[in-house]
Amino acid sequence: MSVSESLHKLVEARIPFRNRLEPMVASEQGVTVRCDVTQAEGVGCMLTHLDLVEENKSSLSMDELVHWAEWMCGRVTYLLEPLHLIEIDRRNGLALVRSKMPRRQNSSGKLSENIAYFELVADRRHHASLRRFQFRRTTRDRGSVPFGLTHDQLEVLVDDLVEGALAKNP
Amino acid sequence: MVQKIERDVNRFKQIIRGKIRQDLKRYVSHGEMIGKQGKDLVSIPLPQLDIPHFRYGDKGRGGVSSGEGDPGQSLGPGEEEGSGQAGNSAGGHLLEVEVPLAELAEILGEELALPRIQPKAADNIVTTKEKYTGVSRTGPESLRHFKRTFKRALRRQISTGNYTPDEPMVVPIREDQRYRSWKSVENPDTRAVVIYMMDVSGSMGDEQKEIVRIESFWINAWLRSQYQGISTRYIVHDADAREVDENTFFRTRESGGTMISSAYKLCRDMIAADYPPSEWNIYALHFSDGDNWADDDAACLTLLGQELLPSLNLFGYAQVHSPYGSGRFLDAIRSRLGESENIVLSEVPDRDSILDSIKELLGKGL
Repeated sequence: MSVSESLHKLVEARIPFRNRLEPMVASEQGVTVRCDVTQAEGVGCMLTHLDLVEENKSSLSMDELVHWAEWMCGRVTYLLEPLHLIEIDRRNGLALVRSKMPRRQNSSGKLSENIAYFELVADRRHHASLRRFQFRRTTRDRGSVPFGLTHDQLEVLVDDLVEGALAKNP
Repeated sequence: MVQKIERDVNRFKQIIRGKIRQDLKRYVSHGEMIGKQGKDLVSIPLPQLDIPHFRYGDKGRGGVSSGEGDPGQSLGPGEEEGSGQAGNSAGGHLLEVEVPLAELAEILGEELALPRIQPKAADNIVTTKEKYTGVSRTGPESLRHFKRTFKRALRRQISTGNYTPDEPMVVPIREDQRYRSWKSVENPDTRAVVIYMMDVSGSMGDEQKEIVRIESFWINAWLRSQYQGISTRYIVHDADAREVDENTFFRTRESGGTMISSAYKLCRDMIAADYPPSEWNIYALHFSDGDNWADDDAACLTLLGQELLPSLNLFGYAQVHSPYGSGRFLDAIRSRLGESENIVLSEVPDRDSILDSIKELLGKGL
């Protein structure tokens, strides 16, 4: 069974729930996926973050990390906004990927001064962490907010992250 | 006595100043004048101002006359029906006036009510300059004043009847020699340097850099008006910092992560090497979107609080909003060092906020 299928089963087993934090961890073949789910129902779920850890592999070179990050930008095209690589931190071996066009929306989905975007931080140890951030102009604060995915999207996303992390040159 | 043309020129200058003042915010936020900057003058387009021009009268070209006319006939030159077509290019003139940078700075200072800067080193740093102030009878041959010497010799030869106009020969003797003499003048020295630092990491886009370019132009103009011969240094950084020239400063884009501490370290080293704080007025201005890698904040604040601030007249940090909003670094500085006297923090959400930000950065008059 793949790690995405394991995670899907974990979520499915607790459906439906809302307004509480359900930590979920799925591991298969040395790959661990962790996420906190705040709400789940028949179609999809809300996550606060999605982390992938691959323990057994050797570290990537910086070029390989850049290649991985760029591969994910090309592959993960089904989120609210397309992704692009914006920063490479060679000193700490990190790649920072964010939404190409941050979304300006409020809680009801109308355009507003709030800015929301995905941020994926990947590092040379085959770790990747996806979060969604929102910047509120009125209060000038920026924080992580839950993001919604359908169950299918979550499965495909986990598969893509795993595929990218496992292959040296995906 | 002031001539009429001078009065007209002065009036024209006042009109220009009024127009610039009126549209200062637009000029500042659009940055259109910066691209036309000469050494000391800036060209400013003033679209609403007509160029003064001669207008021919109607004399000798018809007009109202005596004689018989028909009832209802209009007087004066009639309107002819034109056969031309509408043009398809922009009409009107765009007058470009050249304004001295110092005058622009003055307008900015008046508009923003900026306080005059009190240089900190003016009292204790004195430079001595030699200035030629007169002529003496003794001195080194290298300073011999040839013109005066020959004048004295000519005068002596004429008065003693030894000068023949038909055979003009002037031969100076020892008493004719004149030499330049000098005097040492002591001047209080106010040396100043501005060190600009800019985050050029991947999250700082072109618009953010343009905002920084415009803001630093105006800050520079103001500081130049306050100090003679101010030095300017530029540092760009992503995860690493390096010194660059002005042109590179505004055009560089790197893809590295953001480590603000790298810029602060370079700034500290620069000051230690070239600018003793007891002799220099040192200004450090840093522009970033505030998206510092989280574990770097502590190092930055330690550097800033313990090593940079004691050396500086003013540390200004302006946080420019990126497409991803505003980072956390501003809050980090505010919470740890916001009370320091020589630190000024500013936030620049967009171009329209540039003027306010300049006022915040320069408003302390340090």
